[in-house]
Amino acid sequence: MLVCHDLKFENDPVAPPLSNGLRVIPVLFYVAVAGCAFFAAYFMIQKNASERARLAQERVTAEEKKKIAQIQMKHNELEGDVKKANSMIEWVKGSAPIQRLAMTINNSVMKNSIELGGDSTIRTLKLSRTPDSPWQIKLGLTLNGSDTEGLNQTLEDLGSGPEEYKRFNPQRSVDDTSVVYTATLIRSTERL
Amino acid sequence: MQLVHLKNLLTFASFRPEPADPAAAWSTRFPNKRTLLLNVNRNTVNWQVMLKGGHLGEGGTEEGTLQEITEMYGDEWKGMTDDGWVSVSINNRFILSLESNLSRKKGYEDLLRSNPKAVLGSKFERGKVYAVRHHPETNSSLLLACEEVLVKETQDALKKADLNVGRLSCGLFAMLTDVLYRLHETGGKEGENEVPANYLVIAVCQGSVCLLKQSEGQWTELRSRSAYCEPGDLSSLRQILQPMLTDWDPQNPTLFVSDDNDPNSLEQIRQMLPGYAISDVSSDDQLWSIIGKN
Repeated sequence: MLVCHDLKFENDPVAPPLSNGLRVIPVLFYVAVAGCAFFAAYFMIQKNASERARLAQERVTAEEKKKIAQIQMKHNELEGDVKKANSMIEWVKGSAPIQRLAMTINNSVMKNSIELGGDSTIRTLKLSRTPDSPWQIKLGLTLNGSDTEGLNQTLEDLGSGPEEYKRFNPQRSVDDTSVVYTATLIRSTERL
Repeated sequence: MQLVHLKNLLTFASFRPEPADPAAAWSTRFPNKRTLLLNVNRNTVNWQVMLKGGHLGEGGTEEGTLQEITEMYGDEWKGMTDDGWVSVSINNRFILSLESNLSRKKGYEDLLRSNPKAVLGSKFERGKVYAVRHHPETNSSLLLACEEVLVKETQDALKKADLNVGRLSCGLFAMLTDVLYRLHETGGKEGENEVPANYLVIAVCQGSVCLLKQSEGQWTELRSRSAYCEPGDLSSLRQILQPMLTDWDPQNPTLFVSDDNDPNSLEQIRQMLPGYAISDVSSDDQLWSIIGKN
């Protein structure tokens, strides 16, 4: 291209333009800036995503811990029930000698109520033994109503049953609504 | 390194010519800026705005000296440009001559500006500034001599108006060298038309005229007058044209270039030279295109 002539007087020195090969410097600069911006944005997005994932994981962890606590609570309850069941089993095994007694009393009261037309029913029945004297059974029986005949029949059934219980220190009290009887029973088959 | 250098490096401005670099074309110095183009005649000043992308904007003409008109339009001109850069064409008080055996050593253009005597030798005259265009195949050269005082006055007047002179040229000489460049540099390439051995160039710029004749591949005659014709009237051209046409074959190409794109100008030349093979090689806005792009 033809460059027009110039007649003017120069005032300031003029530097020639830089060679085109040096354009790589600003190009690299802008590439670096663009790269920094890209990676900054990329890392920011990744950071936000990981933050959201961390919060979600924390929520899951909290829920799982809550579930574990509930399961642990149920486990403890079950263990309690197991203990109770075991103690019940132990009790059932240990109370075998008095089960027949309890059944005899229950059957007798029910039989009296049906056959004799009485209205006695068992309010409470308490049978207890002590390790020191396991052959002695302390009986505490409370019947509804004021019918003492039923009580007498039951006591006779205890004495005439296969166990042939002897009664010691019998005490009875009767009021309008209940008959309370306590005594210490010893089987005749027991030999002191 | 100053901050401005760093800024220029990052905006790629360092890879473009500086605005004041005379060795670079105007369009490469101001690729995306508005600049002002001025043509200073003896009694009138024309101006045109060069917009971004090389398009021409609004222009105007005012009678008076540059100093007077600069005082009136300085602020307006300043507002028409982005940084106040102006390309000036001086169209009076210059002499065009045909010389031979001028120095063509490397760097002669810079030397012509700093020490013209070293290039011109005995042809150097004190108080003038010079520009030269060499014939590409012979030892002939076109020499432009312009008054140094006029150049200084022009620069000072524009500097006073806070305008920066990016280039100060002679419009007629620029148009003439542009035609010769197109003729010799691009017209003579392989596969294209050969450069004619004989041709006549008639260049007209705002009343200044230049006639250059080449015979047998050599520039043989040049006649030039500044502020010679009245606008739109080339009749006075006949006086300096006719003596050049003795022994001249009318079929040799005659190239006419004018700054005003006036069909009447070409018609006047045709009437002046009936039967001559005249070609109008003017482009649109010839003067502004040259000083605003080259």
